[in-house]
Amino acid sequence: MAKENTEEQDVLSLVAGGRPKGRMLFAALAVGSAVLLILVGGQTEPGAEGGGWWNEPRNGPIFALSLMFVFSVLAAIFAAPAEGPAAKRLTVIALLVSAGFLAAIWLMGLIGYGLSVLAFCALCAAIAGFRGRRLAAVAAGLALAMLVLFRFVLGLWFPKAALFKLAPWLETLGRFL
Amino acid sequence: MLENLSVAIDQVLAVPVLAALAGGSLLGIIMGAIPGLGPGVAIAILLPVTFSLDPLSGITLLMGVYAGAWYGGAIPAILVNTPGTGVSVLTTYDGYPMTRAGEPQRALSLAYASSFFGGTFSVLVLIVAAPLLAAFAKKFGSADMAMAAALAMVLVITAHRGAELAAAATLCLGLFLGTIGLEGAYGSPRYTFGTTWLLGGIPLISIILGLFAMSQGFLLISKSGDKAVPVEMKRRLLGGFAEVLRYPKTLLRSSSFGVAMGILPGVGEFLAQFFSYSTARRGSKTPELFGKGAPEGIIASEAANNAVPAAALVPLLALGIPGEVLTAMMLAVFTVHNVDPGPALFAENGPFVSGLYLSLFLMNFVIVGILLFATRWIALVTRIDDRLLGIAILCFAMAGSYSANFRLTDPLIAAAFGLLGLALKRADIPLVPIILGLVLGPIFETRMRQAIGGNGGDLSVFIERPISLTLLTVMALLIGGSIIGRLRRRWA
Repeated sequence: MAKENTEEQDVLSLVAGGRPKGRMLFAALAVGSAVLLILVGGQTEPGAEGGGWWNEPRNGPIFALSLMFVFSVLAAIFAAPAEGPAAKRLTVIALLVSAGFLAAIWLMGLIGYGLSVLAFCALCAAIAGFRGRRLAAVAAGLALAMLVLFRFVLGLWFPKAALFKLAPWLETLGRFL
Repeated sequence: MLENLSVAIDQVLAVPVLAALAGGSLLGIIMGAIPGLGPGVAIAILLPVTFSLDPLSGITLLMGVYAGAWYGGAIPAILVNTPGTGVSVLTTYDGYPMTRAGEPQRALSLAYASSFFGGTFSVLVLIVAAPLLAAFAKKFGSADMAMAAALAMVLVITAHRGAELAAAATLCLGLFLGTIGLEGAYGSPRYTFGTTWLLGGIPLISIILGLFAMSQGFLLISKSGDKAVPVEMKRRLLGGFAEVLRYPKTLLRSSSFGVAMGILPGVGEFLAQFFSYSTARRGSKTPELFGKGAPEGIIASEAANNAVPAAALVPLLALGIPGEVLTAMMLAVFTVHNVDPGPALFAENGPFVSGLYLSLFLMNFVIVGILLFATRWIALVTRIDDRLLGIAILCFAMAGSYSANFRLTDPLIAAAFGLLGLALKRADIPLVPIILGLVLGPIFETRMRQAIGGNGGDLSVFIERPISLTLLTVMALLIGGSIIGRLRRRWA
């Protein structure tokens, strides 16, 4: 019986969320919601006179932000602190990849989709720990796969890059990249 | 409905729908079989693609991924003791011991057979229940619809046992995000900070890609490349289809749990699996075998899981209210194609609904066919380096977020939500309520305005209407129960 109860608890732990961590995250959400609540006057316009209180445009944000503030404060009080060295390493990786992600999209207007994806894959592969020939193979292989899938199989259109406007032969090349 | 059957057959036999059926099922199985991915990531990536398809092909593709992933998740759970999707956790309890005992094909076969039973059972329930609920929903006024949306939100919060406050906070974040942009009553901007790109609201695609795909990409990219080597598959997998019939009670009860939990918003596969597994063990003649390779354990887990996807469509089709994140994503496909799910759907789009039923029914046969034929090759995908998957997911997110509007702001939003999603995942804070708040918020706000405005600003409309009052009472009981349960846990 005791063993069955232990197993029951074990199974229950799979569906029970447990005590969430991230006290600072909830605190940030609480502060964010408070700031946004203060801004409600400037970020919404009043409804027409006689239009009814229920139609006021600010009702929705006030309702959502007030509840978000209350629940975030309560969640911050009851949550456990998070963050450790591993989480910090992951955050740095995520920030680097995000910066590369946005830079690659910005570069699409200059060098086209194919070359941007190649650069992004090379950056990600390097961050993921691939080196030397494996890095080159991973970047080129994945970029080629994405190019084939999006440009040729799905026929996704991307704006013409500045590089391919420089010369007629580059324009031909640009149709494939 | 029968008069629409011939039209439905024509629709489903069209090349785009068949391609979506087969492609979605195969992709779902593969995504389910790769630990760490699952249908959320796949659907987030595919969502922009479905906008260019017709509604039936788009929904079929997404449902194929959804259902296929639950089937595929059993493969690594049974072969390498690593659940492919979160909902396959309990399958490892009995599936892996069976593999260690030298019977991996028996375990897989049992899993496929019970999944097939659960899947087809839930489609039959959908066919019967959705029109009934839709017919009943015709009696729903704006007050009732507002309370139905509110009840869905309360259910989502209370379903996150032990993390209700976190779920409530993230749901409210979703509610707020849903208010950004031009509002409905006066067309005035809210929280756009003077920009034009926020006038249309924060794009759902960018949020979904960021929260589900990019955050997972970040996690995978930082992993090591070591993977378990799966067991080699040699023998045929048909035996389980006869074996499951020896446990008809477990099969039917587990499928019913899946259907019931699928219909209830916010509850989903985890609770279905838990109730199903616990009940099967209590009712078993050999409870001591559970956790050591009991066939009933696999049946309970897999039948319950796979009964959820079709059942989850019941509230979406009948009320227009998505109960969980994957059907919330499907609502976006309906919206893009100007198909309004809800009571009128069955009268106005009968052939579409019949076509959807038929494609969902066929889907289970297609998935089982693929699995019986190709399990040994599909099992190999569990060996793909996580880091390669991470980079590929980020590339998909790049194309998906940029190609929607070809502006840098959408990928910027996706990246921001990717970082937020990562932080929330690391802290075990649920992501799903954000999407449900975002999708249910505008429905709730519009219906509240209509209900209160139609009653001259008087809030008594919510207690004067029987349906609304019933829903309010259920909400009060749920919230009260959740608070009492939380206090009890603290005092225990």
